[in-house]
Amino acid sequence: MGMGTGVIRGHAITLRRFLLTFWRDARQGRGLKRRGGGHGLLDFFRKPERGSEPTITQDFRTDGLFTVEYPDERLPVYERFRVLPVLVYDTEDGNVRCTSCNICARVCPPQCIWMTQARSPKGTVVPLPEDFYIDMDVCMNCGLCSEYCPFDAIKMDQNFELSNYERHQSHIYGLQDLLVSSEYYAKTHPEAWSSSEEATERGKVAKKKDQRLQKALAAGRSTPAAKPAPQPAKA
Amino acid sequence: MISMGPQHPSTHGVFRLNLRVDGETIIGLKPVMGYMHRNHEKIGERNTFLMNFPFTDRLDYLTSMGNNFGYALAIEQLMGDDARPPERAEYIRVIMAELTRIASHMWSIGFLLNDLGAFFTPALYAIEERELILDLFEWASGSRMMCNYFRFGGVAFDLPKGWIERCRGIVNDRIDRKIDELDRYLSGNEIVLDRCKGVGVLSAEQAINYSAAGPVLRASNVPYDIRRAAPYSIYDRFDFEVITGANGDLYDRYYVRLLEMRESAKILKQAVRDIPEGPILPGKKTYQIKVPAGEAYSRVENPKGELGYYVLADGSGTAYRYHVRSPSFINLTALEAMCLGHTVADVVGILGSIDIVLGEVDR
Ligand code: SF4
Ligand code: SF4
Repeated sequence: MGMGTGVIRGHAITLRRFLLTFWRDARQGRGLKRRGGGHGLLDFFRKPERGSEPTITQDFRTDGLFTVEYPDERLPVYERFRVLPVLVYDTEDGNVRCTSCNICARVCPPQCIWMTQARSPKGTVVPLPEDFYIDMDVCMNCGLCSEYCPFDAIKMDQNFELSNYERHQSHIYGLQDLLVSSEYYAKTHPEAWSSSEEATERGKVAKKKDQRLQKALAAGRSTPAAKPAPQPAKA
Repeated sequence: MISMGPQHPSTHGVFRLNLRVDGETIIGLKPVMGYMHRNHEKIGERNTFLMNFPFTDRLDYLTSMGNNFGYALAIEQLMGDDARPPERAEYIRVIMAELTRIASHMWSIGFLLNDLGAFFTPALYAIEERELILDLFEWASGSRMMCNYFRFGGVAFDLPKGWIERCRGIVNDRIDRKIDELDRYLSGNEIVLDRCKGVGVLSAEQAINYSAAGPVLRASNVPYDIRRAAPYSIYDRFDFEVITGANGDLYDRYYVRLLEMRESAKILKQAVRDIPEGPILPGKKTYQIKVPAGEAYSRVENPKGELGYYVLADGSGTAYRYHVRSPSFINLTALEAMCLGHTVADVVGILGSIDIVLGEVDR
């Protein structure tokens, strides 16, 4: 069989798609600019400043070719998008929310969370994690830990640019690596943060935790084991 | 004797075919599996029922929503009334499953053409739609491929604001146009016809004997679709056709997939029109799930075919025995029958037309 109408029609469709891409760019006033490039006309070599890359949302009106020039252009990050878990501390008082209840470690499918509970010098249990580890090489990014944490303490972070050269030591995150402020969480998850459930939960948890902490301290009758000084996780 | 794979680009993963050839003609073929064996079933017996959800995502990693669906149905069968999904959850499940079907068929059609030598242009056109669907998945569930979205008795989260509107836009105004374009682009193309017509024929009788499933079975003119034969969830409410092909050749398998996407679009249009408001889980979300002792088998019509989960529970927190009937694996057993008498170049296309995913073949 030779080249028939079917093949020619195929080429016409390919050509149409190709032209539609330019048509779309022209329509959006970016005719001659490189998408994701600098501001000037024909500005091929400059890049947008880090952090201010344009976000491209592709929806049912997109036509032509679907190219996003990452990293100079980005797709939107949806709020629920999950990569690795982080632990939240409250920005106002520096309290780590986690009470070391071990639920996340129990629901974690590949069993990559482990922790030790803090104790007062007297030896009584304090509802805080002494240390908290997650093996990020094993984590399967499933989000179950954050879904079932009763204290809204462990949350899924959206940072996906995690590549590095090292593969033996730094992939087991300790408490200090995991901590992020509630401010950061509120920024990355605005909807969840302002949802009524999480807001009431926050109030309840703060109260409950305070009570438990006071009780544990009263029982120990001494100052608590030094509270881990929270620092934001490395960005 | 030729060893094709395990690193051959046309095997869609790590998979080997032992070919016995006479010149260019295949006179014997043996699939060698197991390069990607991950102990899925044994891990499923260690995992608690809830913990197993993210593992089912990783079976056929192109259709994680469908895998979740089957597994949820099996456990819900054991849990009975405790885990009856509310109306809205049922609709969400069906929408997700059908979007998955479109995404998976798009992928399979695109890469079939890749296997036939049309390097990437048709594949990329086809998976554009998949891209939009994956955006929807990411928006609702948090991940593009490993969705982990279903829970026993419902789904993990409600749909975010604006989701259903975008989904309606895609379903009502776009998908049909794109399927038409693909149809015009490929179905009449002389090269496609030449490479596909009459190649890799599987007769209806053979298909049944190999217990093939999904588009492979239906292309051989056996109108068997679990959504019709044993309707699960709320599939009995939707109006759609079971597509069959006449000859059971490579072209029919391609064309059945194309037409099935249209049927999926039809189901989706009905579902996004009728979806009610309401809760998405029957009770409170909890990680402590009590599954009474008993055995259950559930099956769903996954894009690749009949996906079945067999679970034997002994009343403890984990399954006593857990088995997956994976369509890719079982369809693969029919490969030799399809390939005999054809050339090595055709084997690549025939393998592509079965649409296997090695994550599911080897488990
Ligand atoms: S992160 Fe949450 S679930 Fe895990 S130990 Fe802390 S409070 Fe418990
Ligand atoms: S995201 Fe999943 S795998 Fe990762 S730590 Fe949480 S529960 Fe474990």
